[in-house]
Amino acid sequence: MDTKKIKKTASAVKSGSYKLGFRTDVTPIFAANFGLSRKVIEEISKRKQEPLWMLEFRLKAYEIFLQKPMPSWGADLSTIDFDAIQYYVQPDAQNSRQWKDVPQKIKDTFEKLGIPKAERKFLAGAGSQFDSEVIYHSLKKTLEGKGIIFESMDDGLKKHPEIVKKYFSTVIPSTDNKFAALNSAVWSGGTFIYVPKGVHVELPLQAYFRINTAAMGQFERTLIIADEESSVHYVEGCSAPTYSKDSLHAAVVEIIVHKNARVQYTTIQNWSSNVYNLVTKRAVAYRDAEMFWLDCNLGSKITMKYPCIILREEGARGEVQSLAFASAGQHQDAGAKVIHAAPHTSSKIQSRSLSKDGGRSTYRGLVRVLPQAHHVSVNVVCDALLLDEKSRSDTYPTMNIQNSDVVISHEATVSKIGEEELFYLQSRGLTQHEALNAIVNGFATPIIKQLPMEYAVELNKLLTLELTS
Amino acid sequence: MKKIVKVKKLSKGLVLQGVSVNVAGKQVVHDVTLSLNPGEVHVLMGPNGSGKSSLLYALMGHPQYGITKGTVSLGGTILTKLPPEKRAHKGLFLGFQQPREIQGLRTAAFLRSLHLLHSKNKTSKKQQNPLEFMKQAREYMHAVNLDQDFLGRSLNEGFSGGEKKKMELVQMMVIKPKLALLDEIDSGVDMDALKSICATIKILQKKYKIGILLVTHNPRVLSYISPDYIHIMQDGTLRESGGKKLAQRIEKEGFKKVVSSK
Repeated sequence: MDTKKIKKTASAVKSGSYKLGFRTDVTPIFAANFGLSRKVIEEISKRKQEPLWMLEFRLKAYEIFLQKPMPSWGADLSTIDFDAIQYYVQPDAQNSRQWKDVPQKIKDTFEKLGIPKAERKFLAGAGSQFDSEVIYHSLKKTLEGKGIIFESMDDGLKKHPEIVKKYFSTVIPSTDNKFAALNSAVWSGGTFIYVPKGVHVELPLQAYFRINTAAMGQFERTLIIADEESSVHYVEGCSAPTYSKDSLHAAVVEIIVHKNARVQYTTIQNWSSNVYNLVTKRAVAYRDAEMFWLDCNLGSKITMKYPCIILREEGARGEVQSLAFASAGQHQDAGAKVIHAAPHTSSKIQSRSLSKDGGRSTYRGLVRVLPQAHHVSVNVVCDALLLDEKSRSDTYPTMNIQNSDVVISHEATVSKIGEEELFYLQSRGLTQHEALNAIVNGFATPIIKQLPMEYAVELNKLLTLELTS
Repeated sequence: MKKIVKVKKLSKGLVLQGVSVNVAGKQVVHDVTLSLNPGEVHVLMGPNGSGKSSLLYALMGHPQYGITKGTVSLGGTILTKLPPEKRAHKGLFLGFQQPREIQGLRTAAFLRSLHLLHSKNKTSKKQQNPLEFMKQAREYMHAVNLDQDFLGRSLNEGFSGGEKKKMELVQMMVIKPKLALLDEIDSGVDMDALKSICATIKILQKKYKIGILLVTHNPRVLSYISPDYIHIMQDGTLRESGGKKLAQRIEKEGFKKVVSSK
């Protein structure tokens, strides 16, 4: 660039009008950066310097995306406009809003949850990252010593192409559903974890350590492999309200749990109310392996998410614990899917949902026991709590059992806050609000108590705050 | 025989004056007047449906049980317009007939919060630190023969009838109210547990000078509790009040006979 152009670019950066870091003579379609096309995908892959197989994979997925229809069930997705989305954003792109424009309610929540000041700007969409990079890098050194890989998906592909190629898309094919296809075509960011044989990762690995705009993208792709006899717990998200300027989040998470290994994947999601959160998450558990999904959905306008476990070999065990909180204008359509593809496997699904102010929470579950799976036990419990007359709860449990040598149980309850329970607590001196808080937090406790302590405390506080609004 | 009681005179205890109670549009208690001095044990008896429990619910401030006439005061403070939690802070306690189960609310944590709630503004009740309090809580559990394990469980969840009643007493020990209304202490409880519960009530009453208004339709309770006064209700009205002599007659003849003989 000549001096004149450099000066022009520099002043543009300063004034805030410099958006994407591209050269000024780039083709108009890509400069505008809205909508999807083969060209956009090629550009994405080129800028990431990906191997050819990944580009081909993306292009194939794009074709599938174009052909696939929208789902005919679930929440209302009619307002999604695929042409109005920016599919590729540079990591250092301008953030969407100023701190002064962040709603006071959000700021108050940060204050009440005790969120460190350094993190608040980032969570509110007014800062590009906070200084957790230092923590992350020192953690990485400790992990590397044991052969544990914990990278962004982009870096994982670059540094460990053999492992990635072996497992990528083996659990969720691009054909799975329209949003998995979309993710497969335009994925960026996400996490790659590999745990070697026999290694137990003592402390939970948290996405929060590497958080920045690139890592927290709209089309995150996560791949976790726990090799034989290993164990790891991964935590993503946080209970603090998290702003996203992107309204469509279509993430894909694939997990492979090898023989005798254990993986726990914990999610606490509190996206801003503009977000459509459509996630495809699936794990495969091999012989005597254990997979545990702990899924908490607090935010977003619409969430559709059904963590799935395929119990592929004997002795495999799967568990899904799900907590959903739907407030005004929200629809949490969540649940679980478990497929018993081998004998002597067991699964447990526990779902708790809370609805208030007209919010809607839905439990959608699928349990399939294939013909070859005998000596299987399944336990499903879904409980819904409606906090007022306006709110709504639905349950769509499906059981497809093709072997008679099984023990299946399913219980579902819907209740409202008991007047007698409120009176009982009030008669002890608790105000009605304190009584309601005790009942609501008590209801969520079986699930919350399984979170790492700091998250549990934060989530309890958040529920209490939600009740006052 | 109607006794007109002036609130001023017996301001330290519980005073009901001409209290009528409505539930679901139906009047279930008519014009009840009675008073209880601090530290006294009164028993309120009567057949099922006589309005005894309704009266207790109304005294505590249950939203469905409205006091349509009359006044209630405790220690000189009129309770009638106050919400339940404020009545609790004025010193009133209700031991439920069917204590509620609160899922996910750990008993130990709940007891501690009760301690903190009730020791705030009272100079006589010293606030204990968590360790001191837990030691005290374990002593209370021991006093009513409740296993320490219950402290780690959700409040009343899966407790038997007797265990729930004992847990009410533990809460009473933590709160140390001025006056405890105990609703059907004997229902769902076997004889040994009943004896033990009654003995504990007597100990508490003596130790902390708690006034007790105990509702039952089981005359056997009279011999375990040895009340200072007995009141008999039927069809929502107070039929008779008396002391030890009335107690003896009831134990001998049963209260139905005693009431009908009037």
